[in-house]
Amino acid sequence: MTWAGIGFLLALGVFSVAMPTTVWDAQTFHLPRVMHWLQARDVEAYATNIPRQIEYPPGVEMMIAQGMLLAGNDRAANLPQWFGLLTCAILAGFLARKLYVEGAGRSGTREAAAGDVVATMPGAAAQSMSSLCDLVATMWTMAAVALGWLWFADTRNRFYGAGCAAAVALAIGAKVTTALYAAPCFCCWGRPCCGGGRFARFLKWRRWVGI
Amino acid sequence: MFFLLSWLWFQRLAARGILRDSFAVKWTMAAIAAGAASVVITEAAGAFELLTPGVCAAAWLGADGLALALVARETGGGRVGGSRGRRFCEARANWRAG
Repeated sequence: MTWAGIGFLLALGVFSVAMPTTVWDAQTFHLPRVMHWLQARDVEAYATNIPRQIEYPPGVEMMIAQGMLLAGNDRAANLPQWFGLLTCAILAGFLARKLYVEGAGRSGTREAAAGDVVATMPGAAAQSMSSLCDLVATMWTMAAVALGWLWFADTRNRFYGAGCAAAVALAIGAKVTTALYAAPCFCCWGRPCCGGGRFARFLKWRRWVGI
Repeated sequence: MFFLLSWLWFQRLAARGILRDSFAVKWTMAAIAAGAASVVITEAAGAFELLTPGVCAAAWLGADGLALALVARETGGGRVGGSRGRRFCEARANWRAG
């Protein structure tokens, strides 16, 4: 990331702390779910006429609940999403460097450009000031893809394996559809481990899978 | 705090060559540790109907202590040449010995 991208992210962080969210989904089921948990002191399902409050995965709301419990108010409710955007920008740079490792030229430029593109995407920037779950789910998916890449390159490293597995679990715990995006990358990354001798042919395709 | 301490632990692991010494990798591993800890703490406290600020703050302090112990263990093992963690381990051993 460039300094401009970092400054933009910091500004988003200030806004996410200073401003309460007004997004419809956050007001109707993300935050009410947390408030029900805090009121009942547990995370059990409860009677409601809004099924989305109890049928969606609870991963991100658990982080919001911790932030609200420790802060004593809802100022920290948007921070998981902002942290998700920050981590997505960092991981975009890392994946860009890995995907273009065999390319010519300076990889630092591509790394910085990838981070800036992710940090300044309008939809992502707007979501980073809300208490939804999409950026956190994206963060876990990108983490799983990045650690999966490292793990398949060094299959004896248990830290990469455990981190990748935890990231997959957290991603599915945040949003079930993330599996649709992570699965093709794992199929591509894991091909050498399955004894595929034609991995070199996939090298020119993996960057598109990654994108 | 837990994020910073776990990041420090992964920094030590990277210094030992266990992890790739990349900022993104260490940041991601620390984020995963913090995310998993928040889920575990919420589930555990919720299972006993103890999802309260005091219980969660105590749980996070316990997690901080665990991460600090891991950092001290990595630093005090003499593998990366740190001295602060070694002094911590020596002080703890002396305290246990009375």
